Amino acid sequence: MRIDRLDLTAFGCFTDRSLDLSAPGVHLVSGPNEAGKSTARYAVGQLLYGIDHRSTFDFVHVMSAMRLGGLLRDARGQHLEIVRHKRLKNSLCAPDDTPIAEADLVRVLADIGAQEFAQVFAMDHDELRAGGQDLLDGKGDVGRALFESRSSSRLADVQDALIEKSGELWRPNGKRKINTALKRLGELRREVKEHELAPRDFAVAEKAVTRAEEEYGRLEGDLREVRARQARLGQVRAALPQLLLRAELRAERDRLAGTGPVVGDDVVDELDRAAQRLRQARTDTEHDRAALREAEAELASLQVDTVYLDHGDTIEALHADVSAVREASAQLARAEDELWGLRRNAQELLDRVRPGRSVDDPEAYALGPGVAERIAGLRRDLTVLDTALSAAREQVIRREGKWESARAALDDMPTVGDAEALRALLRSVPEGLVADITRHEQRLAETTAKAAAARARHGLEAVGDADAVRLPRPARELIAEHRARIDKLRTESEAFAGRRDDTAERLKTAEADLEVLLRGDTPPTDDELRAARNDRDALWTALRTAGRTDSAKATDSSAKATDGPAESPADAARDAATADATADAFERAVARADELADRIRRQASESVRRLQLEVGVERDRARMLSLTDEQAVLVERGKQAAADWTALWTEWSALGIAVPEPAAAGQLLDGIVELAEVVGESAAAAHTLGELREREAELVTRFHAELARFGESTAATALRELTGLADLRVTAVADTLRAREQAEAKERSAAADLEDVRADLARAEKARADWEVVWAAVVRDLDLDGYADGYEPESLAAAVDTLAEVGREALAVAEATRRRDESADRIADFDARLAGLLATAWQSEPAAGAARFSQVAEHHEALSRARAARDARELHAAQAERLRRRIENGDAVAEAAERELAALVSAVGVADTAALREAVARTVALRETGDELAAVEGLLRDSGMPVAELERLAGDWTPADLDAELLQLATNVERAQAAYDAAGTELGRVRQVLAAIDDSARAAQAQEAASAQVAELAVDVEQYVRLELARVVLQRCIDEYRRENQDPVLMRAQDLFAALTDGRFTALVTETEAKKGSPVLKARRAGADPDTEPVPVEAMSEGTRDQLYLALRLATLERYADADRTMPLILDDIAMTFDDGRTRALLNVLDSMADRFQIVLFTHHEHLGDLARTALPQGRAHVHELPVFSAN
Amino acid sequence: MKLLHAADLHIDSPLKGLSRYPGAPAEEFRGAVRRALENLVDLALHERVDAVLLAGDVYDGDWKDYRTGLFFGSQMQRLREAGIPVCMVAGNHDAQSRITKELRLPDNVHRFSTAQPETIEYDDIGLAVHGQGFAEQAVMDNLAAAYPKARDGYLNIGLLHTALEGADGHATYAPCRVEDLIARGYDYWALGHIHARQVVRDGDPWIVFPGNLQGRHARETGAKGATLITADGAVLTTEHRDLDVVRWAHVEVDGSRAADVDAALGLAEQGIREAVRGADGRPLAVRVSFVGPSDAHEELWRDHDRIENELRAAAGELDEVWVEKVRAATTHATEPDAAGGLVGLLGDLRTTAAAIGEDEAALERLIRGLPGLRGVGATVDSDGVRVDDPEWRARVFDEAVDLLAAMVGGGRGQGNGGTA
Repeated sequence: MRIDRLDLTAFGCFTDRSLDLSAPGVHLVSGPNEAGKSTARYAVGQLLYGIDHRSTFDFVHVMSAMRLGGLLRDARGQHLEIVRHKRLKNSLCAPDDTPIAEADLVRVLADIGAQEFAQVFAMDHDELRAGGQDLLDGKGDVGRALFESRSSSRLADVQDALIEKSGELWRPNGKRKINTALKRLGELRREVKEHELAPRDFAVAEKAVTRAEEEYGRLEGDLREVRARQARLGQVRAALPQLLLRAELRAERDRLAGTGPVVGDDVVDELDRAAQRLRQARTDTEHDRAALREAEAELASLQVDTVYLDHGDTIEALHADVSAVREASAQLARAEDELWGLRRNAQELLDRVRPGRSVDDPEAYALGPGVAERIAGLRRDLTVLDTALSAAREQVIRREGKWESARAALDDMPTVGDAEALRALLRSVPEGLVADITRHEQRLAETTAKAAAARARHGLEAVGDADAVRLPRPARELIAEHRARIDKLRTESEAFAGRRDDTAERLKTAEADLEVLLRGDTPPTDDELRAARNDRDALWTALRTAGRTDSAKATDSSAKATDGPAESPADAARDAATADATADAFERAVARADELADRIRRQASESVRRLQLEVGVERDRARMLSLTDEQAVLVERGKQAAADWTALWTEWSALGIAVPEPAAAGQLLDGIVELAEVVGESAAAAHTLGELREREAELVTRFHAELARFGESTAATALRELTGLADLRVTAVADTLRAREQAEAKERSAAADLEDVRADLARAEKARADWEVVWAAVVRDLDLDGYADGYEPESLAAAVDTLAEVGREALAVAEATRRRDESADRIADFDARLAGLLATAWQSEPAAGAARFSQVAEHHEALSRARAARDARELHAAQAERLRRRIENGDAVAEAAERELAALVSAVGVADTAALREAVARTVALRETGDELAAVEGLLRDSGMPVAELERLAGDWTPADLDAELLQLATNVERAQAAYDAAGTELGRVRQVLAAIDDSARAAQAQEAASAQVAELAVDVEQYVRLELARVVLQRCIDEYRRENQDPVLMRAQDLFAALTDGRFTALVTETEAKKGSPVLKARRAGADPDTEPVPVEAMSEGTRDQLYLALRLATLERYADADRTMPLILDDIAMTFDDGRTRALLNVLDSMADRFQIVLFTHHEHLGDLARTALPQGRAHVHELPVFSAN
Repeated sequence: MKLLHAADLHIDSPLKGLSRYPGAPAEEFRGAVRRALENLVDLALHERVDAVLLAGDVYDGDWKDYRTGLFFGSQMQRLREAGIPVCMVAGNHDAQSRITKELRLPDNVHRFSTAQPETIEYDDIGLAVHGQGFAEQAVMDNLAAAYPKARDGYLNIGLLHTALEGADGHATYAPCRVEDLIARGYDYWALGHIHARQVVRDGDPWIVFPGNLQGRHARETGAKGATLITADGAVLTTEHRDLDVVRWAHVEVDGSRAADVDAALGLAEQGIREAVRGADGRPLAVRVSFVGPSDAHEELWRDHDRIENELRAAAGELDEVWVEKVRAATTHATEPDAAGGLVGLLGDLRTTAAAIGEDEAALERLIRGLPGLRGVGATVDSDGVRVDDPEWRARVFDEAVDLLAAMVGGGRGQGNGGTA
């Protein structure tokens, strides 16, 4: 496939640009940086395979407008003209916008897809470099070199990536993912086994428990049995002493029963009791008789004084009163002294208050009830009233002072005017007025700037604001119409130019050919031909004749060979020479005739050709004339169209605006529309701003006036400043008013307070006056003459107190008098009773004074002695009487006991009491033996075994044998116990084993973990297998490719390499590399000895390696050519680092390929075009210049 | 009368294919199969069913841990304590299991004979259950044909482990035809073996596979559980009750809807979110496959690890989602080089690959000869790496070729300009 024409209609920086790539040879697309060279190169792929969904080439033309086109020519020379749009549906169209199926294009592209095209048929400098480097990396490995050079795909990278990724998964003896996972999986599997419980194991555990239970039961029986025997024999052993004692007791019992009579139990007791009573009675009476004798002797020795006993009570009473009478005597003396002092004191007090009056008169000091309290109360009231009065007076003075100062302060306050008007003005300022002004100023500035920018952007600097709105705008349809008309004219002109160029070219070629023909030799004549033919025919006749003669001769000679002698050899030789000469002449004649005939034929065809050429030249010359006319018409139409177009913009031109290109007219209109919009916005902003400023000026004037009312004159004109001043003023007025109000309130408050305290003072003065009245009444009622004029509360209160004191003293005198009289009475009574006693009992007188108290004491002592003697006599008499009664009683008891004993002896039937005692002793002994026997038998019964059984068993054993047997049994028990314990332990163990078997999911959990590990491993292993298989496939593919293509590709590459290196290398050779055994690529230098070692890739310069890669890459393309699958070869600056010599070589190589592949070489080196023109034959180098793109 | 029909418990068989990764909700998935059985018993107790029918494969065939049996026994004991009888037949797995042979179960569990069909009658509730278990793993006889005729006056249930006439992914054991089952005159056939719920016939008689209790791998997707049968006289109704603890889903992303990898990831995430919504709040294991022709084909293959990680990270933001596997199974959006592939690089690769792939024996030798696979085959079971499986080998090989094509094709020259 070839691209005869590439239309960069609307793509990247291009607009309506076409590249004619149809001519044979090498096409160079050249342009400096920013000329859109890369864009043009990229556009090729975009045209063929669709514009990228997310294209970045929309910086001039919007996505929806992006468009490419091309005239394609397939392998058979069939054309397909396409247009590629940037859209989802029907992106591929014919020029008339009818959709073309992609499949149709794919056929033209020989089924080469975007990727293959990009990788195989496009190459840039970087790729060339990378290819050369890959050759080095592969150390010339032929398979790899061949494979690598097929396309831009870096197989080495893929191989490395495969190896690296595979190595991340597994390495022999490594710790990679698969290695580790396998190890972990093994562990988990072991864990599963470890936790797994085999069904058999459970049965075994159950059976072990059953067996252990049985064994445990059996051993328990054994132990029980041996223990029972041990216990039985142990009982026997323990009972042996009791059995012996029992036998002894039984013998003793029998012996006692045989020695004499026995008595009943009652007799034993009665004998004991009677003998005891008899003994006790006799002992007691003896003792009592001795005591009686002593008591009677005491009685006889005791005498009693009855006088004292007769007056005992009187003496006791007197003796009891002695100390009280002594005290009364002392009391009497003290009372007399006290009485005297008290009376004197009271009289003195009374004399102070009411002189001349006696304390003995109670009236003299009597006070009315509650008088003292009344006076005390009045005195307290007075204190309170006086305090209140002085406080009230003080308050009045203070409040008067305060009121005075408040009034003075109020008088000092200034007066102020009314600020309400100013406040109203402030309120009338619209909110945000200043901000609005600022905003509109900004808006105005912005729109002005925008307008300036729009003007600059669209070249409308000359257009004023009014013009922007006013300027006529040609309708877009009209513009489109004009544009279509101009485009059509241009297309026609181009087509016309093509036609004219074609015609001129054809005319030129024909004229040249005609000239050659005209310069040619004159043609031979018919006569010449005829003469030549005659010569030929004559010679033929001669030759024929000679031939016939020879034939006859030959027949003759063969006849002669049998019949006779042959022609001589000399004749034969002569004949032969003649014949040869004739034949030669004939051949020449034939050739000459043929040549003449040919020339005539050729000349005839040349004549025809000349005629045709002449006709053609004539026709083309005529056509050229007609074309010149046509051209004139076209030029005229073009002028008209241009004039019409210019007419549309007359008013614009008047303003100095250049008439736009039709393509740019839309943009210009957009500009004017934009400008008009911005200008409109700007005007609106200016209008609003004007209104706002007017309002502001009015407010400023009013503020000045109002502020002047307050005496404030200011030069400020800014509204914001004036409102600030007004605000300050309004605030100051308000503050002053507030201060005056406060002062007035304060004065009012002080006056009210003063009123209050004055009222308080009046109330206090009235209360004091009231008190005076009451006090006077009280004094009057008291009737104290000496104090009639004295109203002093203090002295009056003291007098009242004195009277009260006199009263209290009078009471004390009365009390002292009463006590004195009581003491005197008591002493008199004592003395009278003493005198009476002494006179009656002993007819004597009492002693005087204190001696009479000693007299009473002596008598009292004598009374005590008489009473003690009387009591002793009474005691002894009673004791003697009691002893006599006891002796009598003891004698009676002894007699009764003796009678009882006699009765017992008689009853038992023994001779006397002694015999009775023996029988009783025997009976007791028998009873004790019986008791002991019962005790022993009781013990035997307690052993738990029937006594008879014990006796029977004891009969089988001697103690020694039994001890030995018991010893043995103890050992047996011990053994049985140990066996039993062991079985118990075992049972516990096996039960534990069984109990430990639960329904837990440990094994299942380990299996779950193993399963997860398997999953992970499977993923990695699959990936590992994939990577390894991919590696194998790639390697095999490389090998196969090498096998199949090594020879043809290397052969072709060798030629290309030689050409590219300008003959410095002549051959490519492959050698098997000793170490790896794989073939490697080397190159032989020109003129090198065949025996010298060829140059390995590693030894080549970088540039040479690049050329080798290029040679291999270009050689590979032959495969595509062989399969009729060629595409344009798009090369981008691949000669960037080549010197001129190599570049020429490259251009020649490319030119040599250009008939098979369309070659398009993009470059930014200007001189490459010149180089190509000189290096390549005439007409084989086509340079397409791209101008620098300017965004403006 | 209420009956609960379940099958294919496969107690203690692990969930497969869930490789662990940081953030995977492993704890939520642990012991899921056991918990599903507990759910079954809970349901039986809650619904106060009259009997539980287990149609085979209580255990996993080659699983030997007797504790699994003890666990099953303990669950049956719970039913016994509630007076609920259990009828069970041995399936192919049970026949293989050694647990079956050794385990003693509570006396409420009746295990049907494996020698011949047997009928057990529950006179108190008027229920007759006919059944026969598998004596060996591969029973190829038509067991149903020998089942007895229905008992008059009873609700007749046939308990059978069978593949019927065959089903995908299940061995055709105890084969029989639906007509064979109808001919017995029963009211309900409680079947087991097929792991997907399937009502073969919805009355006269009912023939039902309840499916397994808990999905265990990516092919057992959707809700799993048991069938609750209510008999009102002779009229039977059934309803499926979900008892699974975790759920499986397969999200297939249509690659043709994705212009690039980001879009493909977006579609996959959307699919996962939908699957989560469909899982009724259960933890979810999800497999994501990118299928069909796609513009993102090469990237999906080449950046597989990154894509898997990103999807797992995205799933980590949802609750309890385990991304089991991310599989790229896309093709090129268009195959521009297909026709001309005989000359092009990719064409050569495909040709070489085709030559290798066609020779199955050579491919097997090639794969078996990979050094990293030594020891793997013996260690990893058939659920993981199936070196012995020709299909597995072919699939992995095809994927290897796709991977290679993606790597070779994707290095440079993106975009249709290709030379930019």
